[in-house]
Order: sequence, then structure tokens, then C-alpha cells
Amino acid sequence: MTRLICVLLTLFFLNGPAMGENSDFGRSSLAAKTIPKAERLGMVYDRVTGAPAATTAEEAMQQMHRTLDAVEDAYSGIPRAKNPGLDGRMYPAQTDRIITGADGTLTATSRGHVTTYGPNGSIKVIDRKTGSVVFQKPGGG
Amino acid sequence: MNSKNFFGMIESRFPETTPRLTVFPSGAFMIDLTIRGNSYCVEYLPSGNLLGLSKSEQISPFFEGVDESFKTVEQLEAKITEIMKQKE
Repeated sequence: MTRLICVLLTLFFLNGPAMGENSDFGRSSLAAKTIPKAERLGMVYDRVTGAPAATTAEEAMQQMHRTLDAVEDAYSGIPRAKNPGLDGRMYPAQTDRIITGADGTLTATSRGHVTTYGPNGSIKVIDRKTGSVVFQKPGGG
Repeated sequence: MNSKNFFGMIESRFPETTPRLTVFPSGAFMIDLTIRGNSYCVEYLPSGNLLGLSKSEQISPFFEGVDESFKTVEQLEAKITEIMKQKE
């Protein structure tokens, strides 16, 4: 009986996914993997979409920025700098370019996009050049 | 840095770039330029005392620094002039 268990266990480990592929053992090595910026951005949008809806503009912006930092910490391979520069890492919107509207709306502008966090926690990212919506999520408030 | 004076300088020196000014209450500003069919952006961020010029090809809505930063307005003017003179 003991021999049978040993054989079964051996077969299990020989046929199981290798570390770093798709096993639980591989999670730590996956976290150290560097992936391209476009994929990281997609990951940020996916995670924010999957997170509970924010109920205020501030909460929505924090959700976006916390998610961004988590993804960049795990997958950019670039440590967070005190003075962000052109290091290949994406950083939260600079406070200089965040405007608070009379209704509590927060608007963050970057070179290519305008992100609006509505008072009900909604998020909308618009391409400045084309005016097209590249990401949006309804608020929960 | 006074955004309107700066924009006036860009507009008079480089009218063919069809500059477009966006000003923020913080004193930050952005000037969108078109040089030889390519989109560029001049950015000034008072918090980091950052004056920069970048190609506007950013895919994310987040901050990614600037392609090149400048200590003086004259250096930035020289860079714009250089890009405008570049051959295809």
C-alpha cells in the first residue's frame, strides 16, 4: 500500500505543472516577471473593473492609483522613484494636473488622456487627441 | 513660470507648430505642438520644477516622465528649433 502511494505521488509531481508555469508554487516567480507596459495597463484596467465600485471621486482615484502601483511594483521591474522620471514605469497622476470641480469631480490630465472621477465614483478615461473613451467604469454612489 | 507669456513666446517663435495651451490652477501647463506631422507636448510641473518636451505617444493615462527636460526656456526653444530643422 505504501509503495502504491509513493508511486502515485511520484506520478503526480512528474506530471504536474512546473514551477513558474501555472502552479501555486510558481506564484512568487510570476510576480518577479516583467511584462510590457501595454499589458500592464490592461491589467490595471482589468483589476479596477473587477474591484468593487467606488462611491466617491476620491475613492475611485485612489482605487486606480493603488491598483497602478501594485501592478507596477509586481510587473514593471522598475522600483518606484521619489522623483518620477522617464524610467519606463507608470506613476499616478501628478497633483499639479488634478482639478477638483464644484461638484466634487476630479479631473486628472496627462499628455495623452483626461481621466474623470465622478462624484459617484465613476471613472472615465478619454484620449485627448481623438476624444474616444478608452476605459470607463460606473460609480457605486 | 507665466504660462501665457511662455505660450506667447512659443506662438510667435513657432507659429507653424499650431500650439494649444492647457493651464491648471496649480500653475502647471501643457502646450500641444505639431512638428512635421508629429505631436509633441511641452509640460511644466511646478511641483517638480519640471520643464519638458515629449512626443505625445503615451499609451497610459498616468505620469511617465518627460522625454527630455530643460533647465531654461532657451534650452527648450533650441530643442524645438532643432526638431523643426531635422530632415525627414
